[in-house]
Amino acid sequence: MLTGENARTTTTTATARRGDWRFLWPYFRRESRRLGLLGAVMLGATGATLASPFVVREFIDGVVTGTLDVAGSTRLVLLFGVLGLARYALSAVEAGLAESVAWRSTNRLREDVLQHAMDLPLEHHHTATPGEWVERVDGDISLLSNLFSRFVITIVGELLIVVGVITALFSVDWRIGLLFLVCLLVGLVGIRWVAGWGRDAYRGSRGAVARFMGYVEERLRGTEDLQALGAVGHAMEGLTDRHRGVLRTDLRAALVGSSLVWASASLFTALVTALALGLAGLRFGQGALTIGTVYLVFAFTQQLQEPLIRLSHQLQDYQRAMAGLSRTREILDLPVEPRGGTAVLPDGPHDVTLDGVTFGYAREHPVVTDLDLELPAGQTLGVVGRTGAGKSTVAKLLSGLVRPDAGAVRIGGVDTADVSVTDLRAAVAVVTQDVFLLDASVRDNVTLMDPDVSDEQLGAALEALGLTEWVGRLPHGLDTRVSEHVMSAGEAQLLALTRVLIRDPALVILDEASARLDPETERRLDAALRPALAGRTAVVIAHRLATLDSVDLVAVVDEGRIVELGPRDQLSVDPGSRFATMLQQGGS
Amino acid sequence: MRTRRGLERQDVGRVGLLAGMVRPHLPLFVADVVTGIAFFLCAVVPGLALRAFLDELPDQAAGWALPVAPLLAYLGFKAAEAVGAAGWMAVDTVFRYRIYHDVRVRLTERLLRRPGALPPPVPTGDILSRYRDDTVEVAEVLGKRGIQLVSSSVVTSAVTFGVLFSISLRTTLLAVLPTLLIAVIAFAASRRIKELQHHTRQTAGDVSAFLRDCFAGIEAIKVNDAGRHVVDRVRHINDRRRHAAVLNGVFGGILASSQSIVVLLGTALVMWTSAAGIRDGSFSVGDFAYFIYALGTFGTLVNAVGQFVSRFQRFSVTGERLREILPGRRLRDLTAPTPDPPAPMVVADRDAGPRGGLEDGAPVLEVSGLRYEHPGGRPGVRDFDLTARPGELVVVAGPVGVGKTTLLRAIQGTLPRSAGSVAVRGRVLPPGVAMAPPLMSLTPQAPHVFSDTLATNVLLGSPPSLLADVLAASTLDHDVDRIPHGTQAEIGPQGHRLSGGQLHRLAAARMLAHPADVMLVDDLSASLDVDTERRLLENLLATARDRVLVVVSNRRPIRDLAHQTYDLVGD
Repeated sequence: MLTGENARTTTTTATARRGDWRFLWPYFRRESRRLGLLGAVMLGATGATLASPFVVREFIDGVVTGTLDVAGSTRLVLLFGVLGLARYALSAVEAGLAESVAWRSTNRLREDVLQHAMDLPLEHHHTATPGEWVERVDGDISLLSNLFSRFVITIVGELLIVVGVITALFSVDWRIGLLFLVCLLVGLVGIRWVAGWGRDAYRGSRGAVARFMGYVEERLRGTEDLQALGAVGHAMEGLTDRHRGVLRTDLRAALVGSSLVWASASLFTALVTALALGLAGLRFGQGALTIGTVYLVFAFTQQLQEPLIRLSHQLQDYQRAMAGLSRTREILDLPVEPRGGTAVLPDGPHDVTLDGVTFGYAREHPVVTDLDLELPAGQTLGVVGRTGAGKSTVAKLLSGLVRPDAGAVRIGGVDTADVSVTDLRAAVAVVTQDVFLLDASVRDNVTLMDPDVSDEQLGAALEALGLTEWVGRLPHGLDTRVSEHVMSAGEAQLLALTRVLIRDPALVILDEASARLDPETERRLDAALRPALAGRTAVVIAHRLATLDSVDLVAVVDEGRIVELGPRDQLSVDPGSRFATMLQQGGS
Repeated sequence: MRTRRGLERQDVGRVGLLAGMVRPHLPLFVADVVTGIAFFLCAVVPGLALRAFLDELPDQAAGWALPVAPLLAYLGFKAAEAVGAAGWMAVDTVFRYRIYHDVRVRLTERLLRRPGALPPPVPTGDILSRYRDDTVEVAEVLGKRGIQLVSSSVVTSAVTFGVLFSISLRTTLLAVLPTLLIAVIAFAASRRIKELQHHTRQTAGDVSAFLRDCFAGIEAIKVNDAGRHVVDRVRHINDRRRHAAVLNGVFGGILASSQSIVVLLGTALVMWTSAAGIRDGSFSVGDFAYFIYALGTFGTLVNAVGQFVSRFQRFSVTGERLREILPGRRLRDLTAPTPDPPAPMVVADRDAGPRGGLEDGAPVLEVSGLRYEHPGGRPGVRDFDLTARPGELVVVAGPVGVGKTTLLRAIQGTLPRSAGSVAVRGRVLPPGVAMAPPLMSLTPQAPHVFSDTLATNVLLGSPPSLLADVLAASTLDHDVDRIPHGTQAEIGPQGHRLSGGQLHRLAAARMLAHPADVMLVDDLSASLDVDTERRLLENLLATARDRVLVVVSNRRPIRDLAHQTYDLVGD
């Protein structure tokens, strides 16, 4: 992981303009042994490929001039067959090796990109659907591994052959060798030029598919809402519209990206073939070449055609992969959330301070303004206010999910901007009303795949929340797969609280954690939480005031500002306070 | 078991599915095949030109004379081929699009109409990976990598075979034999490829489903600092994927060279059988060159047929994967436009007239003997009865997990009832078909919103003229004024750019934009304070005098408003 991270930081600026490729080197360099083997296999295959036409030339000339007897021609036929079979056996090995190298190296890239993507500031995750993220951290990189395992292997293999062919032709007749060399250079430049047009077309096509898939995903997830509102027809209209966009970009990609390149490669080879045959014919007329050599020249023009045609066949992969690659780079180039500094949080419960904190997702529209707050260590603060007042933003600021635009959040007297993210996350636990559930086992959902959590810890936490019996009723116990639809909101919430108990944090934030629970379940939760919160600083965000019966302090938030702050016991009896007014109006 | 087999017998197979998909696009399919054949046939002439060139060369070889005509013919047909390629690609792209467009539209329509609150047949991530790849595969089997390729190769090979036959019967037979031999081997190998391909795709599905869940819950991953564990898990899955890919690569490599091996063995045999003919002058060097050139055509044929066979075998997997996510599990459903959902049926004669003619005080909502069982067989709703008259507010209360949400869903039909009936003004729908506005609407506890503008999310097809009123009624107008771009603001995936409260007021606005006789409202206490909730409910009752509201709430002030209260209790 560290290597990847180093590679990223050192190459990011260097490669921003010149070629998108260089940041990939560290990933492939680690495969040097396999790459070496791959190279040897490719060389062997090339040798076999180049030798075959010479065998055919010997055969033609020998038979035409009558210098080759039956036994001699049979020997040449056998030699030809053996060389050919060796070539194809080697190319199967080549394909397997190439896949291996491609997946080993891109899997590492996948891990780095995934890590990087998850470390990005939250606003990036709010601008793309989960489906789009999957395309970016997996789909695009899969294109890259295809590119390596098919395209690069093809191109390097063909390049070896081209160099061999030209060398061989120079040895036959330098004029023909020169003709090939010149044509090839012109051809490669030309194809590259045409290929450039295709790149944008493929990029557009990939983007259209990703947007379309994002649309479909959201509608599938929201099926219940669409049905409940009779909006299925409306969703289908939008789908048809967007799919038409897919056709438009596909057509462009097929015409500009694919057939144009194929056609120019094919025409170009035809031209080279005609020129080479003409030249060889003239040299034959001058008595400089045999008829077998004329055929050899033709056979080699077909060897030239292969690289160009294959280039165009593989171009689709290539262009798609390049488009994907530049998107991968875009992700890697985005700055991640600051990992924080080296300051260390003191032990034990922390006091929490907000010092003139202002924050907005768009700077000109602050969600919270100039918050000042002091919460002594070990105490519990209740935050109340109408929906949309900015309560959840306070929670996000405290957990470091978003960073203040102005002011500072201090925990235990240390500015959280100076604390490493890992330490901060270990010290602060957050429970929200929307519980994140993974379609995996109950165990994975509680430990969030941390292998270091022992079954004892897990059992104790489940016991503390009274979930042991519930787990016992599951068909496979802790290894039962959960699915959002089978678990009720309350059960999911209890699982989320289990996560907190396992982690043993110093500051606990409950962001409307019990909002979806009925009073009885909430009481059960409360009882379970009370010992767990003892000795910890806690922030409880709720609009249901009963939830706040046992807090020490209360802050009332309105329109992004703290409009009232004080001990709960005082505020609740002060008839002039907003909190007392709210209590009177009652919730449940 | 018997019923299952019965179902499958009714369904179409692979061929039936493809035929059903092609039928409406038959002219386009024919055009696709014909342009493909024309394109492939262009390649026959250059070989003959080469033969003429080599044969005429020794005769004209005095000094600077050259057989120019064959060279020009060679160039001309290559040019024709190049032009043909563009037309061929265009026709094929449009044709394939039409096919997978049909598949996707029909599949989505079915998916969006299955009872919306049932868990999906496979995780949503997996559905999407099938939706993206397997739908396209239906078109690929037909297009330039499928039937179209095979038909073009077969015609071209037949023409080439005729030409070869006229040149030399003996050599033709000996050159065609290895073609057949290799074809058989390719057939056998393609079976193995099919299994591997399936395996590779299966593991690929795992990764995207897992990642999708993780990105959907990125906030939780972040606050729990679980990112590295996610990466560890992904590494593990990726390793499995790599093993599958390497195997796939080796076998794919063998299959890919089958074309070249045909040419190789064919060339060896042509050399072997023609040596005597060249010696005695009955077989020219040009003939020899043309035979070897033509072997390439047969190589293409074998490759095309081999690819097609493995593709077609794999296609049964594709069909199965599509069948698994199709509600009703009948591939036949993909071959015809989706029929409109059934219209509500009138079962009681008291609603014979227009709404105004309704007899006074007749029940608006009648639920009797309603039953629902969860997929595992766990009871969800048992024999629930409810009758509500115009203007009534019904409150449903009870502890968490008792099935309040399930009850609402079963009433609306986003969960299919197993017994009982639900009638709105005497109208009923079959089980599993959700009642929609203007009969019934539902506002869920956690509304799903879409990555689109705020206005679109509220209206979802309702007339835009409603927008201002419903925003005001849901007290969202105040927020809208403060958001940049107002109602045209993009609210982001899952409404991330809105606060929790704004999201729920959006849901309320959405509910108001889709008025219905019976409005079901799941617990709003998580999202709205009690004042806002009460005002909203009173507003809903006031705007339509004969409306019925069924509300899940454990709040005392809401219960105080209720005309009827149902306290659900667990077992």
